[in-house]
Order: sequence, then C-alpha cells, then structure tokens
Amino acid sequence: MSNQLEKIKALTDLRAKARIGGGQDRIDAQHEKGKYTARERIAMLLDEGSFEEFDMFMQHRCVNFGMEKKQFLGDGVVTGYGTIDGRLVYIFAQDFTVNAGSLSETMAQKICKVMDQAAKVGAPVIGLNDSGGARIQEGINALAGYSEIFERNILTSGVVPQISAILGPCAGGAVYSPALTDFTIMCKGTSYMFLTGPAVVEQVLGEKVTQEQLGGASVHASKSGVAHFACDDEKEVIATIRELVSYIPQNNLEEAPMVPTDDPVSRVEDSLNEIIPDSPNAPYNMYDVIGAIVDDGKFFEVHKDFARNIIVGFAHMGGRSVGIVANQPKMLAGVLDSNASRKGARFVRFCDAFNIPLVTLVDVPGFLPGTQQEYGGVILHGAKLLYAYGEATVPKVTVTLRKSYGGSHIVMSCKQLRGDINYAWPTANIAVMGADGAVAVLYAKEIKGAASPEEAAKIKEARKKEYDDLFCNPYKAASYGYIDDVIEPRNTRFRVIRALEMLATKRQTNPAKKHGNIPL
Amino acid sequence: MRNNQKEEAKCAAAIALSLALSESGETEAAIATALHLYLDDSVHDNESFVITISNRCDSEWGSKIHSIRQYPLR
Repeated sequence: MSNQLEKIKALTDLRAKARIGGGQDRIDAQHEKGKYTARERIAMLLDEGSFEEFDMFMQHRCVNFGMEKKQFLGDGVVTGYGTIDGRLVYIFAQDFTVNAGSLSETMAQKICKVMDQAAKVGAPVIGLNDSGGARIQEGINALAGYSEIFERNILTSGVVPQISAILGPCAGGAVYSPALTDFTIMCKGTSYMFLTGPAVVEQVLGEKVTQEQLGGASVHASKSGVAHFACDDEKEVIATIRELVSYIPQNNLEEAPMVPTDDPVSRVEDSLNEIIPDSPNAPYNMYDVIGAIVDDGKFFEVHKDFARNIIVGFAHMGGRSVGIVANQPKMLAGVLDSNASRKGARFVRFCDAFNIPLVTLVDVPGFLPGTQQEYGGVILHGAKLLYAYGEATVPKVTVTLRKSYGGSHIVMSCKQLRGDINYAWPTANIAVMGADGAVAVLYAKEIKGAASPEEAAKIKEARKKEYDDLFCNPYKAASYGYIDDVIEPRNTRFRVIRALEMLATKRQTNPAKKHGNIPL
Repeated sequence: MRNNQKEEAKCAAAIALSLALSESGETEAAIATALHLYLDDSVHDNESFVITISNRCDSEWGSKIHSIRQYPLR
C-alpha cells in the first residue's frame, strides 16, 4: 500500500473511532434507557446525507486528575451543519456516552464555532442537549465555556432562530442556554431541567421530590412554561423540531417559506356563523375557529399545556406562515392572567423578531382578579404583552369575536397599538366593561334606592339593555375608526388572507434606541 | 333573466308545487322557508372572494432591513 493510501486508511480508522464515541457498552446503556446517541439523533433530524461534521478530531487539553489519559475524539459533542427539508441549519448534539456529555472547554469551543458560523451565514441553530453538566475536572474553564455559549445565545437572539431539545439531564448552569433560546423541547421520562437537584432540595428544604417531579417535561410544559413542547419520545422530539423549522425563516432578514396549498382562499366556513353561543357567559372552543380559518385546518400549537386560557402557535394562511394568538373561552372564560400574558408576549416577540405576521383572535373579558394574581405581578406580566404588541412592526391583523373589555382589549393588539387591520364580528362587544359591571357602577344609587328587590332587578335589566344597545356591539368602536370593518364570521379566512396580502410589504420602524426596557 | 332571478323562479315553482300536493302544508312550509333563506342573498355579507393583489415578494419597499432596530446616532 502506498504511503498516501496508508494515510487515507488512518483517516478512515480515526473517523470510525470517533463515531463510536464512548464505546459500544455506553451506546448500549444509552439505548437501554430509551435514548438515542448523538449521531443517531442527528441522522434522524437532518436530511439524509446532508450532515457535515466539524472538529471530529478535537480533544480536550485538561491534565488535572489524570484526564490526559481519558481522551475521546470529539470530546463529547458532535457539531456541524446539514439541512432540514433543504434548508441549512447548524447543529450540536451532546454525546452522553463520552464523560456523560459533560461540558469542557473544548466542547464549548466546538459549540461556539457552529454558533458563530450560523450567525455569519444567517441560519438556525439547533442544540440537542444531553449532558451531566460541567466537567468538574476542568474547573473554572468549564464555567468559562458555558459563559461563552450563553453570550452567543444572547448576541444571536433575534438574529437567527435558536432551538433547544433537552434529551437527557440538563442541570445547574447548563439550563441557561436552553432558557435563552427561542424554543425548548423536552422528552417525557428521559429529560429533566432544574437549577438545583432533588438531593440538594431535600438537604436545604427537607422537601422530598423526584427528578421528574422537580424538572420533568410535563412539569416544565404545564407549570413553569420553561418547555414549549413536551414529547412522548425522542422520535416525536425530532419530528417536532422539523415541523417547527418549517414555519420559521432562516434569519431576521428573511420570511418563512411559503407553503403552497389547495385550500382555497375563497373557502367560507358556515360553522363560524353559528359558533358564538347566545348566552354571553357560555363558552365555545377557539380551536374550532382557528381550524376553520387556517390552511387545511392545520395548527402547530406552542406551549399547548401552559396557560391554556391563551392559545399561541403557527399556521399557514394563503400559504404564508403566521403566528396565531387567541383567547380560549373554554378555559377561565378566556381571561388574561400572569402566565397567559407571559406566554403571549414571548410568542409575539418571537414572531416580530422573525418577520412572521400576527393574527389575533380576541374574546377576552378582562384580567383574572385576586390577590394571587396581584401579588404575583399580573400588572407587570400584562404589561409585557402590551409592550410586545405595541413594539411589534410585523403585520398585525386582529379579529374581535365576542368580548373585548377594558385593559385586556387594549393589550390584545388594539388599533392604538399600531394594529394594521382590526376586524370585528357582529357579535363583538367592545367596551370598558360588561353590562353587569357597568350598570352596578353607573346606576348604583338608583338601584340602591329601589323600593324592593324586584324593582331593583327591573331597573338593572332596563339599564343593562340600554348599555347593551349602546356599547355591546362593534359599531360604536367602528364609528370611531377603532375597528376597520365588521365582517361576517364565515368570511374571516378570506378577509384575513387578503389583509395579509395587502400588508406583505409593510414597513415600519421604531424610534432609535439602544434597547427598550420591557417590564421584566 | 339573470341567474339569480332564474333560481328564485325555480324556487317559487317548487314551493307552489309542494304546497299544492301537501295535505297539512307544515313540512313543506319549513322546506320552502329554508330554501328561501338559502337563496336569499341578503342573509350573507357577500365578498368577492378574489385576491387581485399581485405578488410583491421582490419589492425593496418591504425589505426587512428597514425594520431592524435603529441605534441612536452620536
């Protein structure tokens, strides 16, 4: 064999060695836990044959605690780029088979390299996290490595989309990287995130709790809102990432790809003409409205189990990717509370950062009252959603379906928050408050002075009818120009799509500033 | 005769025949009312259902660079 051929053989042998990571035993252990390896995950996620790996031969330089004798090619992370449905993405996948995926200075350098490349070329970054945390033997260099990653998460935020999948442990300082990214996807049963683990929790607080109870996928998807998606297994995680990427652009100067559809723009949905119940206090399902107006009824919900009184997610309308924000009357009557406001605000700001138009469906009676909300800062959290809508310069199309009262009317993309097109259904009630509350305030003396409870009830009914006729319809707001048009519900799909087409070249800027000071 | 007028004439004929053949007339009256409502354009807010705006994907006006945050000039 020639010298050159020998060297090529050495290369292929090294590649083969790198590809088995920590060894077959550890690969088997990973599989036994129901988890895939880093390379298997990348192969499932990216288009076949598209992956090019960087730094396969990189090794750590630590000599503490005999680490120089424990070298693995790639040092526990697989990094590089590939495509998803033909679209370029950068990826890093921590390899739990190598030193439990612990983060070293070298691993951080590899991750930072792909993040820097992604920022240069304007392509999304996807992180598949499966790590035991900082490599203790590396000392402060591990912390410095985390810091370098976090700084890039921060600088790249709003420049290119960043997606994190948690496919194993993610504890301590490591949790901040996913927290700084745009979307976090967790896997039930095998992934968890927390700052302080169960052992320390028990030691400090005497509270006994399992990893799953403290920071499992379901907990973060429903209670804390840290996770946007909680999937049943890793295959579903991978499918979720692929689907999510299909709705978002490559970077902040592009639009999401158009998706051709056979669903006609002219499709009318007669069911919408009858969806609002006669009783103002009866609920209906906002998912039915969303399904009726989007292309092929397909809605990709985000944060499905968190703050279910507001619905956020992606869809296509006329082939164009849109962000849907909608109150859900079936949950807490669609009121806004702290969690719903935070959920909505984060989603609105993501859509604004990445040129995704917003379609808002409003049926909101107000904010949830009570000391729990007030002590929890509902004022600040509500202000987040208000700020998000007011700052957004993407096309904003709002349709008021039924109630839109008080401060919550303002918060849900009203005209004065630079709403581009504000429609209302004939059933819309746009007012400071509902008739019951208003009459109790405006006619308190008259009601109190009534001769009997029956007379008081009659006065209330009469005054409520007066109030309803005056305010509880969309025409008062329309007469002031706060509503651009009152539309028949079954025509909503067509009207919204036409509005989005009209707004396709919208151009709007905000005053020059270093950055705003959104209430946090 | 316009198409709408033809439809209305057919509807009227159907209603008349139905009423002539029935004994009680109630069922037929309900059917006739439903047909009338369906064919009566005033129940719906009519739209053109046509989008005539041409594609402006390559318009410089809407270039996203214009929406990027502006920093204060010293």
